[in-house]
Amino acid sequence: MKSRLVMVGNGMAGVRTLEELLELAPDRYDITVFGAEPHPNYNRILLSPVLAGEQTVDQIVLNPRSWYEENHIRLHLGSKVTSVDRARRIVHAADGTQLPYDRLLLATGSKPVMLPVPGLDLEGVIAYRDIEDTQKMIDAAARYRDAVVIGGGLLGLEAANGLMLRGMRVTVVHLLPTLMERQLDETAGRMLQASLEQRGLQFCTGAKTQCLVDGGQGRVGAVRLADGRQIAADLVVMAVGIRANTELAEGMGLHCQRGIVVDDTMQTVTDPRIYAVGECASHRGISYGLVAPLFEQAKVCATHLACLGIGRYRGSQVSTKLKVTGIDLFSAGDFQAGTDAEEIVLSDPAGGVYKKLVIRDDRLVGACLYGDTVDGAWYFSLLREGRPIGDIRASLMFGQSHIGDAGHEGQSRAQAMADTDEVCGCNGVAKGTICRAIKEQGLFTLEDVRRHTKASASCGSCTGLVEQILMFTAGGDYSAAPTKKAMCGCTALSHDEVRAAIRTPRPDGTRLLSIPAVHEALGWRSPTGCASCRPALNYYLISTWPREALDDPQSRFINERAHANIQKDGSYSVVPRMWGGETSAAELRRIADVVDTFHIPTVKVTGGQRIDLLGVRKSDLPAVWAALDMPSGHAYAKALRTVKTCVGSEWCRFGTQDSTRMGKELERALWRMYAPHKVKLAVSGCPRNCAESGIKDVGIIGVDSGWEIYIAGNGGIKTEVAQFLAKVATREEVLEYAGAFLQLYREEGWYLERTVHYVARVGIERVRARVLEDAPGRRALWERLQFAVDQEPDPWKDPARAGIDLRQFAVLAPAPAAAAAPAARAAQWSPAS
Amino acid sequence: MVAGVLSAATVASESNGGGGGKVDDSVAASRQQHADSERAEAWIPVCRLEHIAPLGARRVELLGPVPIAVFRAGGDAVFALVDRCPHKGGPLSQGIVFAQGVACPLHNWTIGLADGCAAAPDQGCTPRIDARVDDGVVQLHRAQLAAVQAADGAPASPGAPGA
Repeated sequence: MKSRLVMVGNGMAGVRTLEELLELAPDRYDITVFGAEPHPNYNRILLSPVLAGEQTVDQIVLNPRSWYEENHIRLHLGSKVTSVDRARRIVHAADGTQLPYDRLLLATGSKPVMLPVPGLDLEGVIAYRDIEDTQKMIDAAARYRDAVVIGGGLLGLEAANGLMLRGMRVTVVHLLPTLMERQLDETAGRMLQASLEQRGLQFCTGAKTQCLVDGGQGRVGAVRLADGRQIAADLVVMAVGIRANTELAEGMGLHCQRGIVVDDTMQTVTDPRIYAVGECASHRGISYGLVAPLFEQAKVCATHLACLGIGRYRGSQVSTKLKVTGIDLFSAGDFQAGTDAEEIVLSDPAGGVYKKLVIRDDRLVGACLYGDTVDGAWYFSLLREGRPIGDIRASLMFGQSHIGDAGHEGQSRAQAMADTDEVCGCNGVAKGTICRAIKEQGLFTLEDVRRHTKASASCGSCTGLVEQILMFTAGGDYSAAPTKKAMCGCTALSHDEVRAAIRTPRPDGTRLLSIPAVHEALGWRSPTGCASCRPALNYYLISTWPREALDDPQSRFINERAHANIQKDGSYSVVPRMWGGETSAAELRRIADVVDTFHIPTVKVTGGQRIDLLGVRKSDLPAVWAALDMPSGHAYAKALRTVKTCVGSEWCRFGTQDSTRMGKELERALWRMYAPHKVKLAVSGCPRNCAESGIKDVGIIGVDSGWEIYIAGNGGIKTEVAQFLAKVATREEVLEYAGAFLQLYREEGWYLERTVHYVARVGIERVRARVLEDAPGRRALWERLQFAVDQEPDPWKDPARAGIDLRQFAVLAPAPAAAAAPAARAAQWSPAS
Repeated sequence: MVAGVLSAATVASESNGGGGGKVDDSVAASRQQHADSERAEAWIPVCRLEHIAPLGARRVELLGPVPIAVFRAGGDAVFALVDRCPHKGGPLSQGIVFAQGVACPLHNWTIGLADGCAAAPDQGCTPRIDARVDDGVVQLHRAQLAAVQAADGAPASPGAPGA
């Protein structure tokens, strides 16, 4: 026979526990639920939007009656449990029901605190706790004019805002001088008050309620304060706090101390058959009132009810957002800096922005944001991870997008989030989970995402973020920034883990030298990988084992397979290499002839000091390459693109060094170098820097006494100024240092990670240690790079050796009427075929 | 017998120099043998399977102006779709091919090889044509191909691969 589980209380924490339990052990219990309210489980957090008229009661029901039926849960609504006989294990309800149990789950929630002032029993004086209260407020707003909300905390302000939106004149009476003092410091509290005043709310702060005055006929008419002031009120809402509802538990003889005392398994310390979750429970002295910790408790409790005996609840860090549309407010952790803590504060009251970060022992311990909460989730993750912040302290205040590895500033913020970052704080859903669900389950509406991931299904304050994620995941990002943890959906392994596996010989001495070998050894989930992981694996193989690993053209993007850049109409562009941006009359004549011969529609000078031929038909590519008789510019590849130069000391009256020669030497040494992403260099002959060395992956600037080397600049979506690496005296040193850095990047960078993001990820200190301080290591890096590029063929001059599948340049056009094809035209199949 | 289906087939060769031209002599060799067979009418041969790289694709122009992409997917299964991504018309024959789909080379939409439809949350489909391998020869369903050509008379994109 099944065990009997009885749950008292039908709220969010309790029902969530049942949901988790049904996933783990669907057949273990006969379940009965007693709920004092006449409604099935609804989302209490969304009462504020219901009050504000933004949602209806039906919309906030989480588990309709049918859910209980489907899961064979007996539901007693409007049925209050009055006592429990622990010795005989029987629950007694007010309606006379008696029910035996094997396990009892208490989820009785909390009760609003009512100030013990005269007039409390007048009509029109209510708390703000459930659907009934909300309905009373909605009804009152339709009939009356003046409302007073007592309590300027989170709940009180949401109630006041809702009543105001329903047309009432609302005054908030608050005992303390500033609002939301448990979440906000004084400055932020005042800014919040000012902005709510602008919206039409009135405030009496530092005001103690004396009594509620009868307006006649037994209905409240005013609130009288201790200082004698009297405020008109047809409705008084008490929102001064909540208290764990322990009435039943105390009657049962369970140990209670501002809540039913539970251990880390959510079991009551008094009776091992009885568990408690939610606002009624007191864990390590804390009763949580926010949904995220309650759901964490539910998860743990369910594992123990399922007799899996795993999981401990260790308490939660909580963060707060105010659900008042148009007001951005975020607070987390310990925001009141004590004597041992430091504060970083940005205050712009006129601009409506205030941010305070509290740091203790090199760690972020609290954050209070007003007006600009974009980085709230990031601060919250730093806070919970407890990561040392010394290295990012200088830019901490400016948010994640200033740290460098966060991608594209100015685009959506969702895009800048790492996959492990939490989007929905209520349900603990990370961005990666949402993206995966969107892709794998084909979700495309907010509702779908809520249903599948529960993200944005509770308080709804992350709705905008979820919509952004939905938007860009749907768009299919061709050059997705490789910040995600797992390489792709085909594996749980990260880029670093996959690289390590490729680099490390296996116990039997063999090495992974092909994509199928990697797939097999690492247990790839899909037999042929996907369009994300195949190019990455191919790069990792050929960069780790040059000349040995099998280069698979079918696992390269079309540009690297066709050695030209595909354009929007399916045609291609051709960019021949011009060493250091120098060309000659002979080259220009050949280019002009090619343009004429192949009717190439557009000829464009590029930003990298070379010439782009646009609109070439794919079938013409091999012929165009032959006719140009110039090396491939690799403008299509994740590889060395250009080395931009100024004319330098050879011609320039200001030039101090021969930058053109230096650039040509660099380009000849580095071309054919494949890399995690494209690589661009520049060499300027003097500090005037006409070659724009400051925004290149490697930028060289000639000075009188030698050369300065800068790395990890970027002129792309987000302009990043290159960082100084070293100053050297000779051209040979420039080659060695620049080459060593690029080889380090080749060996450690994740596929599709530019140098700027690579350096931001590993830190410039690491680059200095490997390239500057370790001379033998530097030379070894440089030698490995030379070895790798040494025998790499020019794909345009030697397509066969480069493994190009030449079949792709011909369209199959079998004539239905059997026109004879010449049988013996040179059939040049590539070796790969 | 199956070589006979090649009666209608030939692989046209294009060569603008530089190493482009290619022909399948074995295909040409046996053409005409069973020109009137029923199967030759139902299925049009395109090329031999080995003329498509594993996890690769070829572009085919046959019976009309609409280009067709013929894919050789995992396990040597073959599929044929109109060579235009439902998104912006990108040539799917140029994309990366994997087990069930192809990633469009323009914006990385994933198109299902079997049904021609974009993977959610993207939406849209490109017409598909039955394809099969018979005795090493890739064939397309003639009637479906003709229907696709009739339904969509728009010329291939101007700079399309190949001539």
